[in-house]
Amino acid sequence: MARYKYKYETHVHTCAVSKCGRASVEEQVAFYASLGYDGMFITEHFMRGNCIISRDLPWREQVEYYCSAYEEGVELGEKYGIKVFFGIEVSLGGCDLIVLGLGKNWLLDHPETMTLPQDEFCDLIHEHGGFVVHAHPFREASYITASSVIPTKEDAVEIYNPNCDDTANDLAKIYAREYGLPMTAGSDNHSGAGQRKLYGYETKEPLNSVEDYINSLKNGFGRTFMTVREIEQ
Amino acid sequence: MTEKRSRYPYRYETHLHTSDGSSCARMTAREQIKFYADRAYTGVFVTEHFWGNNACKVDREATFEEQVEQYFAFSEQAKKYGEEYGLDVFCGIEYSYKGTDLLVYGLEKETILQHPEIPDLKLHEFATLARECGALVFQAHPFRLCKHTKILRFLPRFVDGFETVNGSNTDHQNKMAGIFCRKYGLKKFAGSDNHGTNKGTLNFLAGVETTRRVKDEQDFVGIISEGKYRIFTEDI
Repeated sequence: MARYKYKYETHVHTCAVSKCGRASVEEQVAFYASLGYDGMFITEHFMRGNCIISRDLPWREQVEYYCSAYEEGVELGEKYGIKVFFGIEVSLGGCDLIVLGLGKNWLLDHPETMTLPQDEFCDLIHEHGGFVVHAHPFREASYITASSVIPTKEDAVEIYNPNCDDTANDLAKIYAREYGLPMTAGSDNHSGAGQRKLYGYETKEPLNSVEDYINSLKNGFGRTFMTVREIEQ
Repeated sequence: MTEKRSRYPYRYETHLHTSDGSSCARMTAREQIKFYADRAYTGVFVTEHFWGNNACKVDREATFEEQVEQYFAFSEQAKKYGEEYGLDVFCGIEYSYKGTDLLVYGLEKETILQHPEIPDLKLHEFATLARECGALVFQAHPFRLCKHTKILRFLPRFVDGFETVNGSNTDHQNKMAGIFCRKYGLKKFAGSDNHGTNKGTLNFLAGVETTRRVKDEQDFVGIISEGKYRIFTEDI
């Protein structure tokens, strides 16, 4: 019987683009390669979120800058022997969505991604074949006054995120289960090798593209995992 | 009366609309008050839609003070019907923001008049103000999706509890509200959200039963805060 031997980090930030990132692209890629992961998703905070890119730049330059971390990650992935995939984490008033399946060319054509309200944003993504994962939907933080979800317009839910407390993760799992949404997990890693809790998604067959991941989520081919590393002080 | 019921002998509807104050309701205040009096309720809280909701029947062109007066006149008139039919009638508020609704108890007209900024407040700001002024705030039917509510929002840190039993919700919506309420460690609350039983959306009646008779809105705040109540449901 095939084992779930292919591990994927689905939620990573770097200091190249995310204001809260504390590890470089190379540190993140090298870290996951050293752990033997088959792949990782670079999911920087979008310009509609905690992102270092100036919103005064022309849209094209913002998008080029935003995608540069991922593009660097792809090159480094070849060097270190790990697949690097693209995701976009967009913050909509305390609701963080990870968009999958849409790339740089699509972003260049859609500056309205910066202003659409939550429901219309999801509609736009679906209209163009994208996939929406709701990241840590019930996380509480000082800057979040209200959690918000749209069960009819989300495609999957991040049910385990180490930056959430147990209650928030439990609620995310209940929410996904009750509305029949596929479940995934991610470390939301901002610190590279300093990340102690590693959450992710594992499969029996390798994922070779973002589309493979989406297909796996839709069909329940993979499963979530949670591990805790010992880190020497 | 069972022993358990005898500990909670006073029955209240907590979530009620009338066509006097809410355009979405199908029964007048007089009809609604008579309906509950005939069912031997101790009292009801009239919770008309506040003027953040289009269903509210106050004149939007009027001044803030005039709108407040008009809003509270709905429940004042209902209280007169209550005297006529032998039912205790109190005033509550259903505050709305883009489909997210809050039930507020114990926020008095005089207090609101001192805060003309209320129409411009964000949802959590209004909830915070109401609670600072001594009111109880419950998030109404937190899992209801409908044509007016496309996004489910949750404000667990800004409310006292969730309406976990709503007579106009589906079982699943109430179940989810109950699970989340318990996880957040908040008070559970119940109400029918009765817009007129002929509207066809009311599945059952719901409310709270208390250990002692409610004297006024502030007294209700005390009873609920002390946990001297239980939730009930009743077939229509």
